[in-house]
Amino acid sequence: MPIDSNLFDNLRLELRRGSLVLAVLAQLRTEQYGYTLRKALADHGMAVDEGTLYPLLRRLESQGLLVSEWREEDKRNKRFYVLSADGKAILKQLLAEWKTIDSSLNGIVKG
Amino acid sequence: MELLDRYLKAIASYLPSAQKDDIVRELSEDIHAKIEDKQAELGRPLAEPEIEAILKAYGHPLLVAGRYRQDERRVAFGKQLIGPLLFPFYIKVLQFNLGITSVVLLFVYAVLFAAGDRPIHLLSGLPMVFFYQLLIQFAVVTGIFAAVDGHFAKHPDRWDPRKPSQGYYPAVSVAGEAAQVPRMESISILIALVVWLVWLRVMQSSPFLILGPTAAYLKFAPVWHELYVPVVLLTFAAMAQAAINFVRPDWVRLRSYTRIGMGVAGVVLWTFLLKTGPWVVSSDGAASLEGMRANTLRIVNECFYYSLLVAVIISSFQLLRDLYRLARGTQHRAASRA
Repeated sequence: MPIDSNLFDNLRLELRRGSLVLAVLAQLRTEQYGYTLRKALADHGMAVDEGTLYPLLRRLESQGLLVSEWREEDKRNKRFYVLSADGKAILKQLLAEWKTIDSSLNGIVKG
Repeated sequence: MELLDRYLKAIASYLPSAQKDDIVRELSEDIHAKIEDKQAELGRPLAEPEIEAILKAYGHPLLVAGRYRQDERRVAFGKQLIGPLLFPFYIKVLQFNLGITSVVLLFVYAVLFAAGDRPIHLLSGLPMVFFYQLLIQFAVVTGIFAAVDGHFAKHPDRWDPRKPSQGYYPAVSVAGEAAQVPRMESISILIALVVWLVWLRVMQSSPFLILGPTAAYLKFAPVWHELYVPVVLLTFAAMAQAAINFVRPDWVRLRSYTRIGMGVAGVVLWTFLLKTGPWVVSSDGAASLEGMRANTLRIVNECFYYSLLVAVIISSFQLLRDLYRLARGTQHRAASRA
């Protein structure tokens, strides 16, 4: 049976989706607004489109992992996000989980 | 930045009212930042086509707004028919249609009850009538939304940033002379008209779907059968226009002229019907109806009279509006040529 041309893209998307939350939380250990956050993620090889990032920020904030405030910078009002206390705790747990997964996967891949 | 304002307004129209101001404000900031970055890169203000390109890359307003909804429900029969993006709109339209259907049925049954029909007799026929109506509504609405969803998935970039409210929702898009007739509009019209023809045929053979239990002693007057062929021919004409506009979306005036033609035909048909009552007659001749049944016949015909009167008024108003829009479009074209 021929492999669906979209199959790789879909699997890649699934793989990145979980990692993206981790990347966003890690990046927001220091306060940033959406546009600079997206640029910073892209600079680290985690390019994400705004249609994915902003709804994700909103969801993480509603889950209590981020706090945000509107503030003026360079004569423009911007919404700044930063990790909340709960966000910091969750990030610590997720990073530990990530390291476990990473070492497990390395072991599996190396056989 | 009229272009950006229109774009953000279109996004806001698809967002839940509690969050829309906040979301739109943030998106506005993001787009402004993008524009400023690009201007700094080029060392000059952006031209309108360049702003259009930024908005196009940002995505169709419906798509952008849809990502803020945390509703993952969808309709699937093996294959996905309607995805999470359109699902909330699909449910709204379905609820609206079913609400209207319920109100109409309740009205019909209230008339029968007022005319003295036995409640047990009324209730026995209700489930069947309601089931068929639900089935037809469900099939029509699901078919149209599945077609829209399929088009959406295949061509997410086929929309015009200068007209952010148009493209995927032809039924609620801004009327008037557009640069092109959206292909999605043509497909939706074709699907809707095919379903309409099927519905018309089913109603002919099963009048109880409209008349309910009164179909046992009432039937539609012959005038409805006389109108069947003209109505089918008009439907074919509308289908031909939609098919042509699917192939040639730039033939916008074809749609305008067809609308006018349909409008004239509509006013003529409704007026003709209004003058040719009664619209519902006894199955065995008027003389055979007495008491409650005669009363029902009188009330049903009165309802038809007022409904047709409203139809004549509305269709006349729509025709005048379409004529005005066509005239205004012609003036605009003449002015721009001059």
